[in-house]
Amino acid sequence: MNHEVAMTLEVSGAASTHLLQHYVAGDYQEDLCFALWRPSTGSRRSTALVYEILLPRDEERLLHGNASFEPGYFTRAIRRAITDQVGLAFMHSHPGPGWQGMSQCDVEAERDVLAYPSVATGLPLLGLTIGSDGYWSARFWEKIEGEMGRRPCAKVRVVGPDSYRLHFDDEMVPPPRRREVLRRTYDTWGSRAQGDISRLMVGIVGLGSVGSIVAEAMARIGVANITLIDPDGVEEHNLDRLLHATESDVGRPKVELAEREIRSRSTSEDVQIVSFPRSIHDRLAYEAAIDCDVLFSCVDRPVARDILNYIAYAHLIPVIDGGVEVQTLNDYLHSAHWRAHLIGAHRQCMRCNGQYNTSMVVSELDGSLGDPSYIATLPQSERGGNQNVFPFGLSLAGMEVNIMLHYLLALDWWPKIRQQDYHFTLGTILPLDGECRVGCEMSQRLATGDLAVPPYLKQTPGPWEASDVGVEFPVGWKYHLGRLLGKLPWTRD
Amino acid sequence: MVMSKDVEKIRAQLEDLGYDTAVRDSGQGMVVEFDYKVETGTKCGDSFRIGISMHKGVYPEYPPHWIHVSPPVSDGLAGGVKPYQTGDGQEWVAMSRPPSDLWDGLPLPKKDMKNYLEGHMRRFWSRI
Repeated sequence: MNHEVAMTLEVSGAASTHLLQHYVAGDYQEDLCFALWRPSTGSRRSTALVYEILLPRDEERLLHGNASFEPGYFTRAIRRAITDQVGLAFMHSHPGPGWQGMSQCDVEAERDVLAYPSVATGLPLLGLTIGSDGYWSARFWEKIEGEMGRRPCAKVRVVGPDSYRLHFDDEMVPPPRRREVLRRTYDTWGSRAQGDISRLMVGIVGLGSVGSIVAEAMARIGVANITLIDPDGVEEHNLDRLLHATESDVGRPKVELAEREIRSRSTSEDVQIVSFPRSIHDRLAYEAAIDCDVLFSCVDRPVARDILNYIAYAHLIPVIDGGVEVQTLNDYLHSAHWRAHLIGAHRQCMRCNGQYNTSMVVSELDGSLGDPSYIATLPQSERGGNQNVFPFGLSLAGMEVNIMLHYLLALDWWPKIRQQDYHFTLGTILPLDGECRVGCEMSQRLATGDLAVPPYLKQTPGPWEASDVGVEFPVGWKYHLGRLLGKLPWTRD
Repeated sequence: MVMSKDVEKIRAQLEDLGYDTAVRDSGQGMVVEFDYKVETGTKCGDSFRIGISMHKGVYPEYPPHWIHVSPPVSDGLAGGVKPYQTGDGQEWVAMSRPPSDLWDGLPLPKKDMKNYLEGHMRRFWSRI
């Protein structure tokens, strides 16, 4: 089980403004604060979602080059954590840049002073350090074989509306070495960006005409960890659009085809591909998606989009979605456009941008969307036609991949790209932007993690039983979530 | 009969609006029934037995999906129509008619039976 941390840029900004205030002013002075976090649990990764900073009040901490806190501050923070049934985080700043090590003093403060009382929250203590350049590092403290021990974190994700910052522990997850096979890629965006891109955990949900091309792009740019999710097999009518598919592939699971192809084309030295021939509607595939740092939504069904919408907000995992709409008239192409958008913290969700609605979700859940006579009664905007051709899918896949790259690479001065709509007949690309409506349920789920589970998620048993995909959690986590849900640990139905 | 929280909520909201409700198990989920006097369309003034049902556990964030009507009527649309008979011999038709343009625009506290009936049920009958 990997351990990681994620937070929104807003939360990170509030913490760093406080923690780095003295360095910014030119003083060599550390600072500290407490914060609250909720668990987000995938099949192979548990992530602490930091969602609120508890800044110190006057007299609650002392600054003396190092920084220390008064007992009352800790008491206030741990009370909040226990009352809210969430985890406690302790944050402090260091004068150096990059991922920070821990001094003996740091270890003693977190392990001996904070971690034992934090057991009362039912969750491990999360320790975070911010370097002078704003780079976060993190670790958990929990009882391991009766002793309070440190669980290192592999990375900290900072999810902004227009940028995505990944802070890695290079010792745990070393950046790849530069290789000739990626020479032009390195020449394009440099080794630091390539280090981030190659270490991304990318999930592709839907391996059809768009997803298969997205998968190819991920393999070519050297992404080393790719998760593929699609319940469908290759059908004859897919062959005009499905990358690499041949007649001999008909009947083969699409994820199997994609895995075979991208494994042979990957430019990563050690590509890891996990394939799920299941729907994202299935709990095991859902948890595999929660293991990812970014998800491509290459699906055409509202239930899958709804689930990905949940994940984007609740688990702070950006989702890039898109779709092609073709209209025909008198047996001829009348118009076509395709749209791609990035969904996540402080961005418009897919319900509010009109990509689907909850009525479509319940219609699919009740089986109506499989009934052609029913679909014929729907408004044109909800019918979701099947028309598409390889070049349209290729263009949309390129648009989606480039939105991801823009999000990862964006410098502060780059224009914001949130949604793009390409109109084939007019030849125009419209940049779109919008906000969620007031009271949108999705935006209220921000960083709620395991508390926000789609109510219709399937608990299908299958060849990947939970134990087979390495689900193991600290006892405290299980107990805590079970207590929250009022159910047995790790049952979600 | 075990009622889920969303069925209980729908029932309570309808009773608050003055409807006398009953709940039956259709075999494919719970249906909340009540007598309804039509206020619009060609059946204006007539009374029907109405049933409302939806996927379990999703109300009120997700809307009720099925409108059950007895005696059966037609809104002229062929899709999503399931005629059936209850054990007591009563003829029904269930129509899949979710309020797709209405529901997501409502803030969560307004996703209730009052707005469902006023915004969607009236419109449903106006097309008949």
